[in-house]
Amino acid sequence: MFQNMNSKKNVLKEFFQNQSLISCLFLTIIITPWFWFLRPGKIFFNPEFKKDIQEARLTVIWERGETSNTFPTTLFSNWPVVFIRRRLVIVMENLDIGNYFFAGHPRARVGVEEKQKFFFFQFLLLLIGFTNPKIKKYAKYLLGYLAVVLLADFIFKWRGFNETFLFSVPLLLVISLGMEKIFQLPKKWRFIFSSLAGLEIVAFLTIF
Amino acid sequence: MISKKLKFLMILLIIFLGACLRFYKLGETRQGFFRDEAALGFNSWSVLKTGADEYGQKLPVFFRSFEVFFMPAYVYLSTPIFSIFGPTELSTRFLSALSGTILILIGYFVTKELFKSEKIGLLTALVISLSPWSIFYSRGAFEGNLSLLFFSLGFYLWLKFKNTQKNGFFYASLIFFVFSMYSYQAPRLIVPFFLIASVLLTRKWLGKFKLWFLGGLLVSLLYFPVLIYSTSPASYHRAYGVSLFSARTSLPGYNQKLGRWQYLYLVPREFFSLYLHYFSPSNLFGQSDYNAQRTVPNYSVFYLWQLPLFFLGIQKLLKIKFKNRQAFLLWLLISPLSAALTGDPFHTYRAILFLMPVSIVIGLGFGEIVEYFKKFKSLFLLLILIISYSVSSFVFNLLVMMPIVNWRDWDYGYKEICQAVKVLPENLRIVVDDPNTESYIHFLFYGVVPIKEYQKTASAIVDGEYYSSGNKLRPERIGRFEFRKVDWPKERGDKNTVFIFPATRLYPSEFASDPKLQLIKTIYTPGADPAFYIIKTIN
Repeated sequence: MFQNMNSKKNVLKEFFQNQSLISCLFLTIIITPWFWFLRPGKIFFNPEFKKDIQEARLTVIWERGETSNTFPTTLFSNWPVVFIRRRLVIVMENLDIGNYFFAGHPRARVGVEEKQKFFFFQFLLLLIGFTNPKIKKYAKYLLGYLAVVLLADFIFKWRGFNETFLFSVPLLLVISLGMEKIFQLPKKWRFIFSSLAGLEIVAFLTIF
Repeated sequence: MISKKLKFLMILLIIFLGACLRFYKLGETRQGFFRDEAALGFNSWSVLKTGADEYGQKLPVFFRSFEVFFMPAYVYLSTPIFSIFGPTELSTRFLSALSGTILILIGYFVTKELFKSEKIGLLTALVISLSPWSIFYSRGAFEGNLSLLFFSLGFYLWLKFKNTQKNGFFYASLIFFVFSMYSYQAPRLIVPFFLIASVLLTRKWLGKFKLWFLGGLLVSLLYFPVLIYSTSPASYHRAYGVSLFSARTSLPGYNQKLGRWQYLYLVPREFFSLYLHYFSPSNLFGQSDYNAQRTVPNYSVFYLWQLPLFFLGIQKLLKIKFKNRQAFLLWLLISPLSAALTGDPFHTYRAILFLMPVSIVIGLGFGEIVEYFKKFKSLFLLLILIISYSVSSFVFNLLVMMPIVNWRDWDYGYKEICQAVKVLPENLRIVVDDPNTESYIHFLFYGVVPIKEYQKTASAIVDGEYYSSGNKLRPERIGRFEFRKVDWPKERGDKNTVFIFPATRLYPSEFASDPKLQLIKTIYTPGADPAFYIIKTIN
């Protein structure tokens, strides 16, 4: 049994190449606001296909009514097109990097209520993370995972704060890779970065 | 290898396709004729006829309409077109459509100069030719479209200068960059930024000090008429009004909750947020602008099928090495800057200089796909089908759905109102219910309010302080015409008066049963709902 556990541990260790990345990952999870405000058990798994098809049909009836139902109208305004377009808008919204790092702006200007998910310094870590050579090892897993989540997003229309947390996984890993790179810098730079990050956390806590 | 003849034919075909998409039914106003278009058109006509703008200012450096000062190139360059076609919607939009069409060719040249690839050049030209972003802004009078053409030309000549080291190209590029600053507000920030950064990024730039100095002198000379007004409101009024830092554009209560150091944290964060939104796939390929006036229903600024090409293009851009990589990345990264410094999220017009570099990235990805599809030729057919369907669907939404959905945002109905007012007896007072008081420009454009009479009234308001009186607005009353909010219960009994009301501001129940009021005409929307009521009081 112990042997089995050890081999599992080794696999885990090998997967993350070394302990430092695991530590960075834990640290990232701890300091990420998304996880502070997450309410578990609130993910929707109801695709609402029937309702959405009905809504798409109603839109099409209106459009065709306004345009006197000519051939181009039937070709370009039909429920599958409307149905797919609406779902794709949600999928693409989740591809929008700004929605993870700059919650509240600018979508808040047009009435979308948002909460902070990551800090701005984590965005810098994300960019740095892409320069970490280790990313090549995880690239195909990340892309595969992202494809599955995007498909699920297309089906279940996740756009809320709780539902979209599945999108955090690739971000967390790349941010951790960035953090690992920062920890490899000379002490002076590590201190400067940590101080600025700390200041941002304090600023966040005093405002929200 | 593509033969010269075939290459010429292909680029000709792409330009012809782009021209059709831009010029087809250009003068029609099924969706309306927006007030900014009317302002550009009227001022052009006014300069042609009287040598002065709507305020009676002789050949101004900045024009002004509503509370906005705008750059003069579009107005002046449109005057020959107005002398041919007269004061029509077609004359107003013609220069923008022409700029958008020439842009296709410039896109081809820029890309070819960057990547030395005929194929990517042609594909980028195709992307621009079919681009919803370019088509939309080419089909309305938008001076930003002209500035994009000038900037792209300047950039192309800059590349030529970098590749050949011939100083002539350098000076020519500067001339076009200055032209772009004369065309629209956004390049006034982008061009200096681009030029200074490009010079500093040049290897051993100090060695060419004389060239830069002479270039700087040329720019200063060409731009002198604007520079002398740098400290007057005409120069900064617009930027101040829409800026990210202006209280007017902030979220409600946003400024109040900020302490000083929190401000230091939140303002840069907001700027980065706005800036990054210009690179968002969701905005570029899905949702588009937040203002309905700048959108085509169901379409963003690029087609959805171009999203994978965009990602492929970025990947390719990071992988390949090319001589002018720095200049291109500079254009790509700084072009959304001026838009991001304003409070509106994803403003497709202020970021119009961004159109070309993104199109080039998509063209680069397109090249990759075409290369891949060579192995599976049947996929070409699928690609052509997808492109044909999406372009046709876009045209359908632009020409058919947009007038139905966005007529209000495009000031639909004023042309019809002006036609109706023109045939009314001239002793009647005309009162337009318009709290913004901006509809006067349509009455000027369609020749209902006489130019000279308006100029006389408006020039009395600015009283010789044309460039410095940004807060003095237009007159509300010109002769027998009034443009203001109507107090209906008080004014409904006024004699010899015609009231014009938007259907949203006066219900039929408020005038239908009154024997002293006569409904002269109802203007209907493209969707056949009432848009305006023209009501005459019976003495």
